[in-house]
Amino acid sequence: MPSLEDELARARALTSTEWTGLDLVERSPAPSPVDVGAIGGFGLALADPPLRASVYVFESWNGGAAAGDWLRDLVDGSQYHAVSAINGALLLFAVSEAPGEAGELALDHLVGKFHGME
Amino acid sequence: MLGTGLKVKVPNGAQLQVDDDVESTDGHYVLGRYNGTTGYIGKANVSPAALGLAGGMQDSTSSTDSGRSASDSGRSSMPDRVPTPVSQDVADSAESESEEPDIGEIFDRAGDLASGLATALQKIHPIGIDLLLPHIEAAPKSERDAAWQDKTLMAGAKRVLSLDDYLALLPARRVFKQPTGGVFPGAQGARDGHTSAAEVDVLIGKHLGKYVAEAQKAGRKAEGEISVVGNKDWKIAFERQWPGVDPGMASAFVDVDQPKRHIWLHKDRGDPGTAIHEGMHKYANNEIRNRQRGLYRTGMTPIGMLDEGLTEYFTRLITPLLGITRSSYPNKLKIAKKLVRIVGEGITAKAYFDGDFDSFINAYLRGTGRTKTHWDHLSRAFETEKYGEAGKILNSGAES
Repeated sequence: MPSLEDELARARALTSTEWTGLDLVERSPAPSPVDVGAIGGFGLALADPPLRASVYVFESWNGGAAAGDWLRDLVDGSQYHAVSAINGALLLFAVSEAPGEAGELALDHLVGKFHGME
Repeated sequence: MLGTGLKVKVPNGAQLQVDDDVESTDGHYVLGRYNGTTGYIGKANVSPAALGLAGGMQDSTSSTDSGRSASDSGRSSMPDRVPTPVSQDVADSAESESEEPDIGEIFDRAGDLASGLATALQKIHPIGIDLLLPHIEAAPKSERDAAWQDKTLMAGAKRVLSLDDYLALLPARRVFKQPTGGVFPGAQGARDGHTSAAEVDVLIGKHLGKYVAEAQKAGRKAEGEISVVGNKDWKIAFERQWPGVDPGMASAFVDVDQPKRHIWLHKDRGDPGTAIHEGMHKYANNEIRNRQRGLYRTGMTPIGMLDEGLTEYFTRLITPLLGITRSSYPNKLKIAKKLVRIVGEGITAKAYFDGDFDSFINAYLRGTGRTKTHWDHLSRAFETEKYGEAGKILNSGAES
């Protein structure tokens, strides 16, 4: 597996404003990486439409799948729309705080970009 | 809340509203509202002048100087006619209303974690994870498990806590097990690498056999068409197909401009469904991809959006059956799904796998009563990745 630093760099590139076109600002991940069994990660926030995301690095390829399903199922609903996405050892957990057209589009856009070209 | 023993402390002599049309079955309590909170108050504690007035909430004065309250004296005979909304019992008290409920006392009295959390979430405003965490940490696993199972409690926590605090609450409950040897229990355990091309063929044949019969007859398959490679080979193959593009920003690609349309997957990227998605492309007829890809765009046009949306649509007919969660192509898939709903899956499959794209478009036009001008308008928005606009055009039938 690539190093943690390499995977964090890849994750930052895949969620960068340059790549996504979204003005995401880095913040603390929530939940913390250790709480979901990851070895590292960072958080992101978008002001408008309000969106939060955390990107985690796991020790193994697809290692974040169960954590992603778990987080999404706990948060997704009428109040928030939550999605998780796997890209190798990376897990993206993103939550739209304002379900509605703008929030959905931003969330879909972020998830689509997180997967990279494929 | 009724039955929970919660109280709102009302100073002696305070002004409150009562509705004596709504009283408990034992007749001892009437509906009252104080400081934005609705619940029951003992009739004996309300100024007699306020009772007996006709309908609706009436202004009254708390006249009690005792510690007796609706919640602690009348819970067993609470009414079966419960007005809504009732958020908290209104209880009288000589104590000051400004006194903040003590969270330690709440959890001490609650008896278990779930009850304590429910009470704390309701009584303490604002409330954050810092206040709750010590009590969650102190609770035995059985109580944490019980709290986690309580869907009403979870919904309440989501409603009351900030998103950050709600997210911080989840691991604090220790629901999710820590990984052993880097792999989570319950993770797609066997799927610790890309799905092989041979398995992709088996899966597509098994689950989409009725749609891919012609493609199979034509010799289309994934095996031999997909390479899973590391960094070095990835870089060479990627830069041949996409010169000038950062190879770090891709997980998979097709040699769309090479004599042979080979598929490349990076071994450390993607998910267990990536090979199925890419393998699906190998079963697809080129008609949709080739027509849509260059229709509205010039320059580097790696993919057709309708093609990708439909590829993902057929991929997700398989991946859930394997316990694989896919999230790729969300915006393309949404439009594709709406189109499939109108056109029908069979006609869509004929277009995608066998190249009968015109029948797909005609079925859409027949199904919606719309015009080719509208289709072109929709197609342009979709292929140029204006997904919000494409969704609106699809919903409205707009032609320009």
